[in-house]
Amino acid sequence: MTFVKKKKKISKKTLLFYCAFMLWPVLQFAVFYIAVNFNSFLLAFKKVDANLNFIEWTIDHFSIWFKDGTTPNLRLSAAIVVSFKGYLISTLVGMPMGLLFSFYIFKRLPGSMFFRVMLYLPSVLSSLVLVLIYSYFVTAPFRDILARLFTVSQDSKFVYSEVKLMGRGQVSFATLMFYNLLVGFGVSVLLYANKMSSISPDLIEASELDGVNTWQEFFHIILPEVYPTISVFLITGIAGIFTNQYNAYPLTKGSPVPDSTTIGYLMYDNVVDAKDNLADVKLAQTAALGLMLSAVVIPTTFLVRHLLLKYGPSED
Amino acid sequence: MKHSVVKKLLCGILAGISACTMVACGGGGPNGPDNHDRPTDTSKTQVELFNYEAGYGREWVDSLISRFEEAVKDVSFEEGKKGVQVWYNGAQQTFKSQELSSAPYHVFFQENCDYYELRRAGVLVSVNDIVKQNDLTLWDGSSLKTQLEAAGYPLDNSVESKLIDQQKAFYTGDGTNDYFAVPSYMSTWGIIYDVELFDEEGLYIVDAHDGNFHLESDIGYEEYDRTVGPNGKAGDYDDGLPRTYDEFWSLCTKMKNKNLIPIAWSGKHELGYLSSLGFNLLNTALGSEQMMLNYTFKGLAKDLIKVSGNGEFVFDAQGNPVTEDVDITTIRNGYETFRSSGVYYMVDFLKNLLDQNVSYYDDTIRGNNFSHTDTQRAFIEWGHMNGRKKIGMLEDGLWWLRETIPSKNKVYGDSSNFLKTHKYGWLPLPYPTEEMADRGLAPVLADSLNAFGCIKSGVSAGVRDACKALLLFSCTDASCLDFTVKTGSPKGLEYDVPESVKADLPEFTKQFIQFLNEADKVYNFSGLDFYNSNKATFQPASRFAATVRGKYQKSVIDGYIYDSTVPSKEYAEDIYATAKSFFTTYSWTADQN
Repeated sequence: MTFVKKKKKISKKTLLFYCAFMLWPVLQFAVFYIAVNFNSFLLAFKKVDANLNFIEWTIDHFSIWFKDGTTPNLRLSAAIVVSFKGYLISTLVGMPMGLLFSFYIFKRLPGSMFFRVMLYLPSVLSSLVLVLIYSYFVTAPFRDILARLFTVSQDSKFVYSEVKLMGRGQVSFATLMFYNLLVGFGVSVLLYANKMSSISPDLIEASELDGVNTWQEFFHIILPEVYPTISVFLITGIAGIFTNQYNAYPLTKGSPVPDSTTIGYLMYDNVVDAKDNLADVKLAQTAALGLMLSAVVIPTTFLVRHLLLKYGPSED
Repeated sequence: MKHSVVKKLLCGILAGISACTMVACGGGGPNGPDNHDRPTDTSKTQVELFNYEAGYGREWVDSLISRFEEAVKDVSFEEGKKGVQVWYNGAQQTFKSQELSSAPYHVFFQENCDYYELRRAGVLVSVNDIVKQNDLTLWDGSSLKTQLEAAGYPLDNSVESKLIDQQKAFYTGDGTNDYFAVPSYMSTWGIIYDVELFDEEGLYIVDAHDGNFHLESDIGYEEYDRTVGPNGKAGDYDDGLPRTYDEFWSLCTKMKNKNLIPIAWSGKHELGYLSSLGFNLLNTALGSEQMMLNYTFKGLAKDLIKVSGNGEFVFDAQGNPVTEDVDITTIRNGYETFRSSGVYYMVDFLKNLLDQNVSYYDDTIRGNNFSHTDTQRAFIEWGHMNGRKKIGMLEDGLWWLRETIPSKNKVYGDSSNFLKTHKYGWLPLPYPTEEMADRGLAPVLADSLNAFGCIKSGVSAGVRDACKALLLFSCTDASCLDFTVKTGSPKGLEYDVPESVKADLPEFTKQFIQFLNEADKVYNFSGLDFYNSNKATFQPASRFAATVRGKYQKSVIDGYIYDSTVPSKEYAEDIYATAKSFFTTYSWTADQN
């Protein structure tokens, strides 16, 4: 006896509901992704005059980034270094800290619930507010604290010239990264802790019966279980290398020092510089850079994903 | 049950915090209709006006509206209607083409807005008739000019005749010779000084005929005459003010010795404010004719620093740049303008200004969160507060006085008497050297706002004509004068300020008008295709970007905050090298020569 699967007939009403439901997201995707990227693609190859009249197709907007000694080339070289540094710090410092603290919460050690709430609490605030609080703190109060601790007069030039934590254009990369680790900590702890809480208690109990100690539990049971979440962070982080600006704009009021300018900020800066002048070559150059970075980031992301799946720990 | 209540309470608190931060970050939208509390008179043509309401505020627009409504009360712009009602709307908002075409306003006074973008998009009405003919033919065939004359509001010289060549080239732009906007106000950044403090402390420079620097307050030099000041003329407003950079620094040092803060500027907006000051120093050093090469990139460039075979600037034994004149015949060599001695001197001035070891500024004011209005308030009030040092000079825009009056509160209670009882002066920027000061070049007033008035296309003929009439009316000498009286600043048109008007103006405005009458005007824009395709690169804040010691510095200010040890000669060389690299690697089109 064979069963023929009957194609379910969709009523007009359902179809209408579906179309109405999907219209807005599809339209958004079409306008803000397809159209924008298509336009950006064309822009990267187009040379126009100040009145936006087409002159010719060109690859100059790409090649300028590779010409030795040009400003775009120098800026990009420096930004690549800063971006990779940022990724490494986030990955090598932020991630282990987040995992360890999540484990602390998972183990329900003293104050774990309090920390869980308190760490996440700043995430409720607008990031702009957090940036303001942080920048206020590391300017005057921090300088004053240092001055008092080291009994240095507040008028002393030591305070202003040596402690380059804040002040327009004076945010050091370390200050910037410290802020990013600080604000990212709560979210990562929450995500890891949630993932850990989904681990079967039977598994933990069994391991305890087998006599594993806390570190063995962390490395051999918890980490493999949390690995999918870690993978997501690592994979999305790859794309972040090319887009993240580590809050450089709000923290420096749009004027980061060269040591704090990431690729993401460089692209943003170029576009903001051009303002509404569509004829400005900076826009076309940025579109070209975006295309080149896409060509790098897409295969890299897939490669990293492949490697993480292939060589990562197994839950078995 | 108890847990549920606690959870709900926590959720409520968190939501509240979240909402509060959202509210705190909100605001900043248009101020909304402002003079809309009067009844609408449907027998009159209705015009919606939008004003970029920032430093100059709205008082001048209110005055323009009331004078205009009175002037055209018997003029018909639409069949069946007589007179015009203009509704004021203002905010710190500029309109790009798409926003402008959908905005519910008809006539706009904008600043720092891309005129070419609006023009290209076809969203503006041509105003050729009011600019060139100084008249408008109305729907019934009558002449606006005739009717205004009959009403006692005669139109003077044509708008076009009040424009300088640079403005004509810019506004007609693409060679069509069509105007789509009229200039509004102009403005610049500069140095303001506290006249009363200068008087009290004897901070004016005197000429003791011994070749040395002396102030009025120096013992034994009280009776000497003040020096001639930057304009080189004795007996006028700038006597005793520093004529050269050396005099300026000597003055600052003496002010510091007197326990004063020599100069202050907004820490929060340091990049923009000091970049603009640097750009104006360059204007002053070069003079208008040479400065125009920075917008045309062609012509005989004078006083360019010679470059040695290894790319270094050549200086003589006394440490002065060795210069030459070069005829720049193609814009592709426009980078040569970046080795003018003026650029080097500007860099040197900014290096000194930001020098932490000398510190002519106050650290608190230079802080990241000290805004321009905070600085203005400090300039006015600190001299009257215990434990605070007095500030001698303020670096700010021309609009500072109008902007600061509402913000003052601690020292002066009644703002209406403020201008009458306190004197501030305009300090014309000094020249780099005595030789440059002696060239006899007119000082330069470099506009930085590019403010203009324009009309949106697609409005009905009657409303359009009423808007044109309003723009034309805003360009009359009477309206220009009214603007100057209200704001203490000039309109972007050529007109005289009679002595009778000056008498009632604040000291600051009086001094500025004297400067204005001597000055050549240079606007920070160009009709050159190459310039407009790279406008971001040529703005004052980013024009002197340079790769200094391997680091890209977007501005001289950034560069010296990052590394104050770089000698100004090296920095100026790097600016030139960066500009040369930009020009030589630029993707030129065949017709760009």
